[in-house]
Amino acid sequence: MNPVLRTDHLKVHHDTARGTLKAVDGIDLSIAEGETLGLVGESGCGKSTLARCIVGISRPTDGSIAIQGVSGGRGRAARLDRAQTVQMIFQDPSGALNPRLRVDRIIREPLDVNNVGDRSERRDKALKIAREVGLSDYHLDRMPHELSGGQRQRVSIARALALNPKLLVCDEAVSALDVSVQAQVLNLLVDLQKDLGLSYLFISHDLAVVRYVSHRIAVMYMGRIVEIGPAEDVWRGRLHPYTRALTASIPDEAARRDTGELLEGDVPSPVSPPSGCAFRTRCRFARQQCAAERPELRRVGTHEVACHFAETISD
Amino acid sequence: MTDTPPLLSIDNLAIGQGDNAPIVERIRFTVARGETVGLVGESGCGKSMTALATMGLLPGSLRVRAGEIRLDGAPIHALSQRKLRHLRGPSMSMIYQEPLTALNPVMTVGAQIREVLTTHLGLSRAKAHARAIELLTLTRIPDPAARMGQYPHQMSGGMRQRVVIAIAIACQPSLLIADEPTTALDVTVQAQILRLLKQLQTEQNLGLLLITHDLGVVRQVADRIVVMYAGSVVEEGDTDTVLDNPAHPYTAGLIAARPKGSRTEGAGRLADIPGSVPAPENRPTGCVFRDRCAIGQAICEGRRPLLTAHAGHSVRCHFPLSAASLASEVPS
Repeated sequence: MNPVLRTDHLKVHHDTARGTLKAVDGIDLSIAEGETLGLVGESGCGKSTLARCIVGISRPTDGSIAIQGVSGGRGRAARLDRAQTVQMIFQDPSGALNPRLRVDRIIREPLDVNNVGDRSERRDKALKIAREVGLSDYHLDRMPHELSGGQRQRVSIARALALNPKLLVCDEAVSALDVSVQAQVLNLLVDLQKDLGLSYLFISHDLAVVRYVSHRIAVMYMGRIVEIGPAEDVWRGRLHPYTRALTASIPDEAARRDTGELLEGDVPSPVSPPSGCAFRTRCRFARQQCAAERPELRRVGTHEVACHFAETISD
Repeated sequence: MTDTPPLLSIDNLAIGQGDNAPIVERIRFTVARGETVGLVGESGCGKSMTALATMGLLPGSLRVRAGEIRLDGAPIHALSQRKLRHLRGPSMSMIYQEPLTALNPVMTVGAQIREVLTTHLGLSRAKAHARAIELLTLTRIPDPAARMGQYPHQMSGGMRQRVVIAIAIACQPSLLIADEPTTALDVTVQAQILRLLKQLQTEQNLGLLLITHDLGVVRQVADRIVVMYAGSVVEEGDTDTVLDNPAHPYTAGLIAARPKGSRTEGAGRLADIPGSVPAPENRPTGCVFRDRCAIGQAICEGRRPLLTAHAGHSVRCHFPLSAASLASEVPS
């Protein structure tokens, strides 16, 4: 069966005064039906650019995106086509909703724009989706500012679901929500996946959240995937030094502990990335080969990792 | 305990706007010298307003309506801005969530640190320059002399937050308030900044009031934790005690709502807390948490629970959870 999403060597390069900025630099990934792929990495690693490409807001400069096995073009028509299958939920629900539209109009808008059914069918459909995401008739009559943050995010989710997409791209979709509300929305996303067979590309800087919702996890660094595999294998059997540093940096909620593996410094400038392995300037295991030769993703055990010394640097 | 007053003492503090419902209602806690207190709660619980009231920086028409804020035993909540200005910097200072907006974009980093030193301590330009480099060194900024001439936009988020910290500790305050200092930063940088704050605290014997929504951050750096909900302190005590054996259903709910483990390996549904934090004017009578609480009973509606001692910490609940009952009574 064809994966819901497949990207082949996807690149987004920007020409800047100081050189080419490789925001996304050759990403191959696929997401199966009903699967959640978690995407993590520091700010500036290209995860949001990748997300915007997949939804069609940004255009890749090279490579291709296939939705359910059909590789659309890069033009406007292809992007509009894609909108039927791929939808996005943004971080800040207040900024993502039109403040002048009532909630029922917001949810109905994708149906109106795409001329789905007649008026009453569209109204019924909007009501049905609203109920699926836990909103009542009461909420449909409100304006966005009358709702709480959690309810607004439910409206965003309902709008995203209006066209029966196969894939939802969630870019920090729960990051702006308070912990108690975050749990409500995460539960909702999990339920919707079960009921509708949705796939998710789930981007978050909150690694505990990504670990919880994902079937597979991909770790990005400077525009490339450095490790990808089944969620718990990447989490527990992390191989790439960057993945190890990321997970070691999370303040543990359950117990006080010393974080030994802290990363020094910041992500280097994406305009002039280090030669060889982009992570080598912050890697405590870096050796000569790392500067000379760029490691490609290769299979090690159950997952794939882009590190020359993945097998030898375990503790 | 000795007779010396705590470094910061917040007593019965109420904050509000005119006759509107108070945003912060009669809260009480202390911060000792050399101690880190984590002030935790969801948005709208009043934690940032408590910090701003302490600094004398309440926005708009918000005022301290009752209670006291004491610094080293002396009341500061009624001081004039003129007098407060002498305290801000040398006695207490604050760092904010977003380092980019806390810094002046058209002044070099060096000039911004020097400004604090010449204004508050009356240092000469040359002395201030030397001390500024010292401060950047103290906050572990590589190549500090070169950084002095840079503008904030030339620095990364982590470096900027180090500059903000350098400014905050420039006049060697005894109290440092950090409002979500790492929330805007990546986890890797967050770990660096938390480590730095902890080091500085030890070196300078600072009292640190750390405001955060992140229980992981509190667990790692705070000696004591104060949990706020809807303008009230609902639980307070030693960090490990409270997080290991939360007695307030809200604290327990916050801990349970965080994802643990992986769904692919059987981690169950998250225990969410139904509803959301009420606005100040919609707070319920009696216990502020009762409309979201799974174990609420009639008395919770009628009478507001007092903050009372319970198994080594304080909790504001008529039916505090005990370690044994936790498994069955946490909202699930």
